[in-house]
Amino acid sequence: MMSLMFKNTPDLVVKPKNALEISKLMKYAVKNNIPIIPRGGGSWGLGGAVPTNGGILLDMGSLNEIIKVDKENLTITVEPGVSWKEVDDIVTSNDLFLGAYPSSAPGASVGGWINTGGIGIGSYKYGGVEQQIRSIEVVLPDGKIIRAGFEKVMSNSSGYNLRDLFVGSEGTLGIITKVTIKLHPAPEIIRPISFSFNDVGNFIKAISEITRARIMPWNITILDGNHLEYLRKIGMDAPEVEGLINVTFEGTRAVVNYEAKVLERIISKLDGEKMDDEFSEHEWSERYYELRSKAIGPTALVGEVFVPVKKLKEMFDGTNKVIKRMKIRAAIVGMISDRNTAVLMPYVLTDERKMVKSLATMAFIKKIGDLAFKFGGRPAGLGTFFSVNLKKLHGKGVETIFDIKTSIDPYDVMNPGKLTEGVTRFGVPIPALGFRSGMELMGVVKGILPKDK
Amino acid sequence: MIRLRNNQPPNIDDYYTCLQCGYCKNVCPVYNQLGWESATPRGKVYWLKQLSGKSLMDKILRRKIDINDAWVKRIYSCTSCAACEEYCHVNLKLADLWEDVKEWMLNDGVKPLAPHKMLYDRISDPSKRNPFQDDDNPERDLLKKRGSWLPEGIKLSRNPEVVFFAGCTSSYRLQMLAQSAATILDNADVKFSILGKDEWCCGSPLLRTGQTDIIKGEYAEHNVQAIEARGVHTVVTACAGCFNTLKNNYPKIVGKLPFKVYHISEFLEILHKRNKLKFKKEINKTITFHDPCHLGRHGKVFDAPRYIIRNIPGVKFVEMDRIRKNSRCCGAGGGFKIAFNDIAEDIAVDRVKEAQATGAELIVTPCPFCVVNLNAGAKKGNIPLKSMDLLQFVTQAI
Ligand SMILES: Cc1cc2nc3c(=O)[nH]c(=O)nc-3n(C[C@H](O)[C@H](O)[C@H](O)COP(=O)(O)OP(=O)(O)OC[C@H]3O[C@@H](n4cnc5c(N)ncnc54)[C@H](O)[C@@H]3O)c2cc1C
Repeated sequence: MMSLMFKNTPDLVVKPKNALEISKLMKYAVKNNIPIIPRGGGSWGLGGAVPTNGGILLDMGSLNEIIKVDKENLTITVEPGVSWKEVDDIVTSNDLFLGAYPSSAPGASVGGWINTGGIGIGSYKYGGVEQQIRSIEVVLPDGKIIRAGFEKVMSNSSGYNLRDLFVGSEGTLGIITKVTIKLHPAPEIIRPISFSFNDVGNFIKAISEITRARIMPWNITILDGNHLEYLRKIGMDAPEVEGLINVTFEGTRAVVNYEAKVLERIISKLDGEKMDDEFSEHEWSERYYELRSKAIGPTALVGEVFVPVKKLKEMFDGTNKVIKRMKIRAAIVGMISDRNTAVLMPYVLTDERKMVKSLATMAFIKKIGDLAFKFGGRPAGLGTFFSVNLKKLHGKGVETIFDIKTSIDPYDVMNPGKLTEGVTRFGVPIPALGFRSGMELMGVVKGILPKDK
Repeated sequence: MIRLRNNQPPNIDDYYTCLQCGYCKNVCPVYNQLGWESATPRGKVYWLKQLSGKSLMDKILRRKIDINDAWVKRIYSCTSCAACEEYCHVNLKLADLWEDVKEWMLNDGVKPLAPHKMLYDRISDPSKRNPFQDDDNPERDLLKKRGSWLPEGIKLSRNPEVVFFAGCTSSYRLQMLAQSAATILDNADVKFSILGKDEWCCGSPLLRTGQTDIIKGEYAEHNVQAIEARGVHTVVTACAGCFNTLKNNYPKIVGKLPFKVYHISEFLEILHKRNKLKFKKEINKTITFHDPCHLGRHGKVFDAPRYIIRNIPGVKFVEMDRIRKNSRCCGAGGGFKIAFNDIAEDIAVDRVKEAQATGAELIVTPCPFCVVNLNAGAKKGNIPLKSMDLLQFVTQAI
């Protein structure tokens, strides 16, 4: 189906050696009107690194050097193909600390996470990807190689913030070829603590109260009862409860001990149960593995939405209503990524080999996006399929976004068909209205089909 | 291109379960060298999925999805280290999958790689039953001489409690390892015997390369019966490959084994704790330890060899960054070295560099293949750091 609409197979795969090579390639591509598609770890779900109409795929995995650990200035400089886990491993072994990384760190590349403008593990305390980086080197479509940001100090000041223009640009503006990442002194301890809840209301209230307390966890992950049930189904040890909150602190022992105490007080007032250390450590070691139970599907469709913390209850209720109405198997996992932002990743387990059923299930992703809008939040990520959301997200701002794209990439060779345009292989745009009503229809179809087991 | 009689590869559900998250990518030693997505476990699963789901659409879009020589080469570009399995998001049994896929391909008419075919020819030869030959006299009956490594003066027990399964490499190539093992067992008053000409290749090189028929049909059962006939409940082997095969493969082939399989390092630990093995000489060296994949990730033995090394007086023990379940392959395993020696040695260079970073003066590892390949890697990378088999190392301390 997808392959009818899009020419997903590139005409050529290139493993570049350095920025200069990429610069030459860009000039060639512009001259010959060939799409260039940068690919990092290929772990992003929205098709960003997949061609829509052939072209040259740049496999950035070949740029995987660790260039320098600079202890004096608290930075590490790497090529973009290095995975976040590798960065974290090297940083840790140098007695330093990386503030945040995606939960896909073993697979996700440094360049990929910047281009998806991600938030992840540690964002609660240290911010999104833009706050983890100091400077980037970018090859522009015209072949120019520029530096954006500053290697040793902050980028904040007057003047357009060039660096952040490329954050979340999904490879549509240029190719990142070098990144300097900001680091911190190593903490004395890292301490994960898990809490379980038998009541959804209290589970959600606890999340909200944590964000309003004067404590600063490093990371907060939340898992709902369905998710835990799926884990038990595949033979893992997960409690039979309605919700689990995994909080991780890092820092000085005395401070962490104090913050943990404050947290425990909040939780116990809401009838949450503190899990033992072994369980908490295990949950922490599972932080990269949100979709462990995928085999039950075996296909999983994953959505991602941002909602205000105070609307979590409504969002959970709304999502669960959709799950019931569509008769699907779905669960909600998420992260709290700042005091007012909950990032939820509801996922549906389905089977792509059953065409009608699984296509119809796609409506779920659209519906939770709508719910997020309704509660003052937003769906995350555009890629190939959700570029139709651009207008809804930015209103008239879309025109400015188009202007930026056109001024940097007037030749439209940088990852065409993404972010600013949903375009099929024949250059036919995916019409926003058609997309929406199509998705709606699929949702109705799924509701008519028998319940998923 | 190879025509397949039956295009359905094994374990199809796995291909749909795979998340394509790529956690297996950066930990794959072969991908680390080749750098092509097609060499990653995820890339191979992706292709298998396309193969298993070939449809009319492929014809319409003129997509060529087939098993060609390049693909066969990729499937064999695997050291069977199982690092991919360790990191797999959705718990796929990837190490088994690669073996099943090779077996399926060969059953469907794909030709094994030439060096693997050579292994098969020798192991299946009734006058050899091992992967080696006498190069001066290829026809020579080596099976008859299988037990001739046994040092003079060591008496085998008529009433043994233990069978020492020497393995092909120690029987024919690195006899010193089998001899050290026998000497240590003898010194510790262990009543043991060996299988001599009744010991056939355990089958590891064939099981890893998909050439399974004689092992599943005859060899596994033969070896199990030969051990059983000695009336023992304990088998000890000094080879990580034999250990993994006896412990993990044989029960799947012949059912529950009537004996327990130990790696020599586990057995030495037991002897030391019972005061039967004493280290009398100091070794004043900084040592690091390399986990062989077939002993560690596959065999789940991590502590015993470390226990032995730590208990040798004088030793300063240092660990590498990637150890135990996360250990990095030396590059030799799974029939990879014999087919792709250059890449295998490049993998070893990386591992030796990691060892060098610890400041160690010697790498100790309980696997003859790891020793050979790590030493080749050190040479290739011009790194002055030698590797030594655990047994040889222990012998210096007693
Ligand atoms: C299990 C799982 C967990 C995840 N958890 C998180 C999470 O916690 N937070 C989060 O934000 N995301 C998460 N993701 C999504 C995804 O992993 C991240 O967005 C990741 O950072 C993408 O990196 P990648 O290297 O795989 O990028 P790819 O998928 O290869 O590419 C993503 C986009 O970036 C572009 N790109 C890649 N490299 C470059 C470059 N060097 N220059 C220019 N453009 C480039 C591509 O063209 C594409 O548009 C998760 C995914 C999975 C499967």
